[in-house]
Amino acid sequence: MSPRAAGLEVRGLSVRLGGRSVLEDVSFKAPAGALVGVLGPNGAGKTTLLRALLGVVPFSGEVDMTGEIAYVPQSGSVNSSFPIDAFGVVAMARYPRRRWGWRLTSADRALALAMLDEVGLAAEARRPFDELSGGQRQRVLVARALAQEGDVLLLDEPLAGIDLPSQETILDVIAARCRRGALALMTTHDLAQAARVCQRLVLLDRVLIAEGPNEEVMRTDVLRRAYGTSLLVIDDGAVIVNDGAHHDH
Amino acid sequence: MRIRRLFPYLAVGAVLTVVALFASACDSSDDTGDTSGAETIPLVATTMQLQDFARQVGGDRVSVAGILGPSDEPHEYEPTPDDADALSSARVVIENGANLDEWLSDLQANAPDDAVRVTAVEGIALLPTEEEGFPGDPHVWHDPTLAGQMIDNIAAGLSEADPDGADIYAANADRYKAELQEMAATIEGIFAPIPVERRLLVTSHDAFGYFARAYRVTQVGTVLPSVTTETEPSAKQIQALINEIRESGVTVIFTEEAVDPRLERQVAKEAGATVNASLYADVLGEPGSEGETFIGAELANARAMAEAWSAS
Amino acid sequence: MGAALEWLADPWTSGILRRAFAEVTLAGGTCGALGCFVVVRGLAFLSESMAHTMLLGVVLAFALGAPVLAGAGIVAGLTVVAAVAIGSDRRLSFDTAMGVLLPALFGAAVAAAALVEGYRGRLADALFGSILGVTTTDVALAGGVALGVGVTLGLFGRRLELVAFDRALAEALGYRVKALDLLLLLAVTLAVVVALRAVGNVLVTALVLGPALTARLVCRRFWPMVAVATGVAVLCGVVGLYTTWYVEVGAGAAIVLTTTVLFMLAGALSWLRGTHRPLHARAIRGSLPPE
Repeated sequence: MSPRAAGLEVRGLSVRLGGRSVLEDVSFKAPAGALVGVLGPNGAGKTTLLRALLGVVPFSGEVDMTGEIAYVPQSGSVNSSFPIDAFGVVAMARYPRRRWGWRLTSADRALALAMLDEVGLAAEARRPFDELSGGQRQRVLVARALAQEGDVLLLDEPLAGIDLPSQETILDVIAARCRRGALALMTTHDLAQAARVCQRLVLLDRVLIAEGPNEEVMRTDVLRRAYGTSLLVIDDGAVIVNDGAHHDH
Repeated sequence: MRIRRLFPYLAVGAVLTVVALFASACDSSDDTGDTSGAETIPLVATTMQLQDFARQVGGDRVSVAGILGPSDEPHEYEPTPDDADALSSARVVIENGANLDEWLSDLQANAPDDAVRVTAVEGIALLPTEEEGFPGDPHVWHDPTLAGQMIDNIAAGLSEADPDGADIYAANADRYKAELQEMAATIEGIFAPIPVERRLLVTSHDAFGYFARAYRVTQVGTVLPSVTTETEPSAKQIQALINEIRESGVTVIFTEEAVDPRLERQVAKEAGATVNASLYADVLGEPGSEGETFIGAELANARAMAEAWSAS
Repeated sequence: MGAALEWLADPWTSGILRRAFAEVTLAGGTCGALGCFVVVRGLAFLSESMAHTMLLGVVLAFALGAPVLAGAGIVAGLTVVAAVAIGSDRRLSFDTAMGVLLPALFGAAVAAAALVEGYRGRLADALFGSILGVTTTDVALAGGVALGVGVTLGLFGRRLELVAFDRALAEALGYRVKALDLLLLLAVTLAVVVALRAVGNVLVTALVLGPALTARLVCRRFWPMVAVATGVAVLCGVVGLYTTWYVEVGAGAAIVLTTTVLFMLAGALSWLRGTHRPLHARAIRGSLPPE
């Protein structure tokens, strides 16, 4: 787990799916140590951006990435009734390194347990995944990403719908990694939370609306370009986004 | 990329097209309607034996539509819309009875209310069977005398539907019954050189009870332990049969045209016997084969059995 | 003691039973193992539908004078490929694709069977199979498939497991998820084709799903579940054959009955424990959990 300086630069990234343009000419930079929030209304292409960075969807444009990727998918995409325990989930991160092997080394297993401990779930190591709460499951998935030992953390809606203590734990853990040189990219629907915990923001609505430090993006005129009529501005400057369903591509 | 996307739909479409082409290229073997003049009585007969009987009795006064064909197993048959069609215009409906063609009851509503319904085994004392749902063993036609009674029932039914033809039907019936007696005598002659104790029969299912009684043949056992093919034997029964075969010195297991002989082959292998697939048990043969007619089939059966018994 | 041994050994004196034991072990074991993948991925209808599509292949093969199993295998294989390809369309899931294709193909099979002249061995035969009628060739075929499936699971097992649990991560790690889907489905196809020969259409579903569902009730982790399901499937076959040797009940019926009884037993035990938790629990506090 050597902390190297990670880095990410995206230039002119475009994605077409099913004949439609889902992302167009998106460019931004994310330096080491940054927790970057990716924001935008439904259908803005937030998840697609992550999937392009993972190499799962084809794209045009350029991506310069320093460091290896670790990925936390949306918790809803996981088969939660699968017979596996919390430790098993985290340990899964280590298997790709073993090629055709079946058994993990004791170092692998020690690392997995340590990551589980870091998210506060060492005591639940042998609990079936389907018996864990939503917040606990999300923490396990984050622990799994940490066990991948990547310096570029890609997280898809990691804080959505889970209890506050779990959210705090996850943010603490990610922040700790970032302080050691990692870089984290996190999609989210929660504007207020993004403003609070992220250092940089990328605002998308198929195209790049704005990117940069929080104060550059968190402005009413900027937000309006992405959220349009979903935005409600109250007279003392408070801004509410009416963001209905949580579907993304 | 576009073509790649289309591939699976094309693949499925191709498969379905092949099936459709096949279907259209094949005759429906069910309908064996005779060429008819304007005045023929349309009738429907279930089994192939009954179809033959009906033609013999009715002559050219009737046009016979049959339901079962050479590759249909009567015990397991499932009626088709074609069958319902055939029934809708029938003036006489002939079924075997004794639960052999119980699936006909689903279709009976399709026949006109005033159609004459003939149950061929009516009035005939059946051999007992333990099989649930069967009042007795339905394979009555293999006994030539009882087959004659089936002929009489058919003639009576035809006469009821067509009183004008009653004399002709009676004459045809008498003539055919005489042919059946001739057939019986021939079969006795074929069997004569073989001592009764060597006339040992093992078949797929229990279809030859009446045949055995009529011609003094002993049924050692059957692979499917029932008068119907819709049954699965236990290993216990199979082993008992194998032991019986070994003890009695049976050398041939006779399977039937419409039954898959997998299990029979294994039994034969264990018992040191061979499999002979040429008997006509529940059905008659394809047009052009020796088993095409009832009499032809019975004679073919007798010859096959005698040949097997002589060789051992 | 001697009597008990004799009781156990008696069925083995029959060549038919020896082949049947071999067949249920090989074909049943394969179905039990692969059934676990079918169950955890929610593809329970797949094995049933698969058996239906094979009828079409059987009919066509017979009509063309080709070996019947080849027809079954090829058509089922084509169907699977088609469904995977259709399923890759984002608007349709794989399950939807199969759900649409298979009834259509089954209907076509029934229609074709009714119309193709000379189709013998009526559908009932393909439906019920004949475990007591298996030949040495059948057993060799089952053995070959069991070996192939074993090798496949040995090489690709971990990947297949990840795809079943977290497809998104599998993609992110660069696994060829579509290819793995196809591999799994073709393995299931082969296993079902072979089992079809032994126990028939109706019962092959019982062998694929029953042991796997039973194992799910008692296992918390996947590979133990696979091992238990394999064992249970073999047990069902063996117990079923002993039953049909000593009791007058059909062989196929005996096997399916055993499968049902074992499943109900597992369910009852699981319920008695209060929750649907597995039968054993282990508490590990802070130490390295063993594999």
